[in-house]
Amino acid sequence: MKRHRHSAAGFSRRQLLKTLGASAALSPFLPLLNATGQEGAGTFPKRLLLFYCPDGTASIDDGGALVQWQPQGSETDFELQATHEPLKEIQSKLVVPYGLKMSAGGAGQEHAFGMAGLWTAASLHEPHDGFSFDGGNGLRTGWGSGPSVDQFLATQFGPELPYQRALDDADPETPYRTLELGAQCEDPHSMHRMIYKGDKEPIHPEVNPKAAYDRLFANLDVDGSGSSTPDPRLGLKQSSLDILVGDIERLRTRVGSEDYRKVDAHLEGLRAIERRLETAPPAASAGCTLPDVPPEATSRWENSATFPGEATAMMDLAVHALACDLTRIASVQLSRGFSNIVHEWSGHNQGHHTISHLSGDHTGELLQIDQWYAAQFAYLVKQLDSVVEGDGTMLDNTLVVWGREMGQTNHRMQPVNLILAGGARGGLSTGRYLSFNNEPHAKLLVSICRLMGADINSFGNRDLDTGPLMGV
Amino acid sequence: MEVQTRTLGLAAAVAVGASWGCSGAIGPEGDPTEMQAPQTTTTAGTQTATSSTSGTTGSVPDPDPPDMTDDDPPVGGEQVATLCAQQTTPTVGRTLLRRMTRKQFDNTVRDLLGIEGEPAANISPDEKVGPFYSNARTPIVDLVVQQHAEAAAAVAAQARERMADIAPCDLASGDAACVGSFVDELGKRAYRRPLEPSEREAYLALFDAANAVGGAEEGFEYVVLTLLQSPFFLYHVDVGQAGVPSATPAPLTGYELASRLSYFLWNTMPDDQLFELAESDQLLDPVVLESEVTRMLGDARALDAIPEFHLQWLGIGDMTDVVKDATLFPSFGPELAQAMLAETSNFASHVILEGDGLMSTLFTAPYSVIDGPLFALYGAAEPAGFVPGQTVPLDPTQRSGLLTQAAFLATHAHRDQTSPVHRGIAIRENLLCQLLDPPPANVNNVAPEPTEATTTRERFAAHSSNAVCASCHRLIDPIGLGLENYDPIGAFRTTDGPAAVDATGEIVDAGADIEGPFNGAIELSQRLAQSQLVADCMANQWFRFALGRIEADDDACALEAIYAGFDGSGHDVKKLITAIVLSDAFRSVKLEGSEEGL
Repeated sequence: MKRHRHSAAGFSRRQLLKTLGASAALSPFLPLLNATGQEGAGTFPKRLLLFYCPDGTASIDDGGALVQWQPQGSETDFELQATHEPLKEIQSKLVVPYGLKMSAGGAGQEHAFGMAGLWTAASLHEPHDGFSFDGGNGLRTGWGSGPSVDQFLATQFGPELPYQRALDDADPETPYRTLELGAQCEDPHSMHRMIYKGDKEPIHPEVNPKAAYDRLFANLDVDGSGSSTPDPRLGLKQSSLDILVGDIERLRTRVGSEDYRKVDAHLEGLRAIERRLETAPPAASAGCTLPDVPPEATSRWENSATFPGEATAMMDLAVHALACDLTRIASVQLSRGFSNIVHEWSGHNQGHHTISHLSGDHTGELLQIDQWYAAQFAYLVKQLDSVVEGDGTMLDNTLVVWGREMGQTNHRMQPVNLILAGGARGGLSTGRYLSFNNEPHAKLLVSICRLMGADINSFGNRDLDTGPLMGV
Repeated sequence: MEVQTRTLGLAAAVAVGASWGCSGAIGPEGDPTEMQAPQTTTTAGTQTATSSTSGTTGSVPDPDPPDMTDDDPPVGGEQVATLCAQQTTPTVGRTLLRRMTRKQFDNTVRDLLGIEGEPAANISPDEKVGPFYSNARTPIVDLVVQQHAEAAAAVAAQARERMADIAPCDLASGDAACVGSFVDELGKRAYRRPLEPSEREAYLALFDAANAVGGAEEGFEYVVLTLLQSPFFLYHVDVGQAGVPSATPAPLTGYELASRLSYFLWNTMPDDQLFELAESDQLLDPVVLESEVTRMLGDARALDAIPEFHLQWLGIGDMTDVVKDATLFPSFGPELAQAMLAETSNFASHVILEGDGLMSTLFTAPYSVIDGPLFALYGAAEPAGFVPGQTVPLDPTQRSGLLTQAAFLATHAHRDQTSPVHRGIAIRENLLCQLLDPPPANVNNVAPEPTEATTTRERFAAHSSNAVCASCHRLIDPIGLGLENYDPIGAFRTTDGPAAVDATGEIVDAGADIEGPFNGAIELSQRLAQSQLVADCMANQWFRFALGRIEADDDACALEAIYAGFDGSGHDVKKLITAIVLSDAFRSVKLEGSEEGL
């Protein structure tokens, strides 16, 4: 049966593998990842991991900050404040910028345009195309207007980037180009989504840990033998995919031109599946192990009883996925903008957002919430640091960024809550506190892209051509 | 020449003055006079993908259609009807490719393979177009393609166990003719049209290859696995009889029409009778089409789709996520929320499918279909010999139709107090199809905390006493405050804090047939029940639900015919549904071209 392909080079990838002499059935991943480091130091890929928690730091509704979190001291000798108490033990791994203002805006209130702008530095659209979300007490919004840093970096190739190999069809070396995980991120809504493929194209995170586990690890080569027996059904799966690809190509001749991008996106998804079929899963090793089997989350809605467990599960899945080189670009989103999870484990009986707007002093509760999320970030960083890579750890080869959609609970968008961790494979000097005066956070996104190997000068559409953030 | 729908004409030009700082805590700096006048616009004007809103902006309040002169663009219904009658070829709005929703996937798997459950549970949530679920806009992403692959694999593995029930003959016998008829039949039902020769050939080859590896069950499983992932299964593909995308409306094929019909009325794939009528092209005959609508509305599968319209339309579909203050409302929880949803679902399907079907009944019936904890909530006694599913008469001074049902009232309220703003907006936007402009950027919109010392009306007084707030809130609060007899979980109350409930309200800028003061929900419901604006809006909403898209200027004539059918029947929803199915918009498809008017 005729095989149709959308390859720019005009040949089938399956044919390419055959030509190279690799087994038609299995082609192992290029040996860029070796837990024992025998391939030589510096051959580990760079990774990016974005981490989100909701809202902003404690403040008074028509006043200012209740809790000052600005570190005290000098650039390399500083003291973190109460909000970041759980980060003190990993302080040497952090870069803490203070004094940025959010490059975000557009429709809706801060929970909405903050979410849309946090990783994109792009505006939030007014309603469009039938999308009309309540972005805060009646203010309507559409979707965001630009790609997030992770999605942008996932399309870039080069020796200094996470994905180095640049075939004609620009496929990443890993089974998954990116990984979006979340816990209780609710329904599609401008306040609930932070990852964007592009203008008006949000990506919904996977919120069921068990489904993510099955997808990522079900066929992991657990005993590390490195040579799985060839799947006798591989040919059948390929034939099945051939039918689907043929159907997509014929569908393209039966839709209006406005819909070509939908059909093309679907084809991309099928080709990603095909790639995963044609490459052997990574072998388990000292660095790559199976995470614990996580719980099933049957709902995407707020549930205090299960939230901490789902959060831990998603963080573990992200770390293991990076360690096993299933992807090099990932994000973990805990809850969403306007989160109203009740932190029962801290003895609360009201939700996060409710407490944030109560009159009177609720510093104690808000500090507990912020510290709990800081503890999650600390856990994430320590997990990354526990994977040995060469003479260091995976944390050294990763850039982790913790962000929130607002500066303070009273909707002030500064100081921006963005904290970096990790070494970005030698690019980031850590254990530092940097003080700024109203620099747009778009600069930090530019710096993140540069640390990840993309030589750019501008990110997003709120603050253009900013260049990078000094000192990062 | 520009033609606007009747709804555009009526409510198009309602302007409101500038507003600033509308609640207790005034926002920071800003000169109110710098604000330009925000306006309401009708739903079609702002939600249509690319259509212009000409004629709906920058105007002075004038809800009545202007006098017709040769220079004026026609806005009245009469003018539109005349122009449409002069049309030689129909015009319809553009259809975009839609991926089936998760519920549609579940229902289709059930009807295709006889497998119950929620196989789509792990797939990313659906988008909405307006209030209705429809994956019409955003392209699919890698994760969702992968999720569909996983769902298909799980279903195929289950189907394999039931091969003998599903296949039309004994596949294990090795008979090639059997394999052929299996692929033909299941393929046609999965693709919702006969397989093309190359498709058939591919599936036969797949079966043979899998059969060689693992026997007939393997062949069966791989065919099912592939069919369930095919874009011809997952997307609603409407091209038209010519088979190629057209910039002018093309009549649908019988199969495409069958599919549009079954997903509209049943939220699932066509049944055998629809397939037969499609195959013979009989379904293209309007007489046959109309009788199919009647048949389908009498089928149990309509009990899924008809209530779904109402839940999505009223914004109460996600009611199970509503949370209330546990101290104030200890009775509220998942069980009560489910009972509330069931009430509105069962009431709507009772009125439309078993009752007189009238819009007015939906808003004024002094009974409902309640069960369980709702008896206590409504203070109603369970009648002797009560069987769940029966209608229960309710106190007509307290309950009359949809707006007095707990699901609507509880969803559009805060955890600990009512919300005249949310209730007013829900009615203004979903029932009158009048979209409101957003509040100014610096307004503090957090509702004041409820206390025993203040009534709701007092807490929101700034909305009316402050002139800049009032210019916009006059459209909202006076409607919502009319529902103050219903607390945050929909229970009837006569006191609110320190005082007796004051449920006086007023409707403004909504057409002469419903404007004016009113007292309480019963009177409000009666007003809405006989409103032409509400009827037109309901017709527009059903149009969106049926087609999964917002009406465009090009749909004006199709909508005229639909309005006429609805009006002519005294606003019988079954007749509205029939009018939609018989319209050009439903029976043809346009895949190219802009969204401009005639």
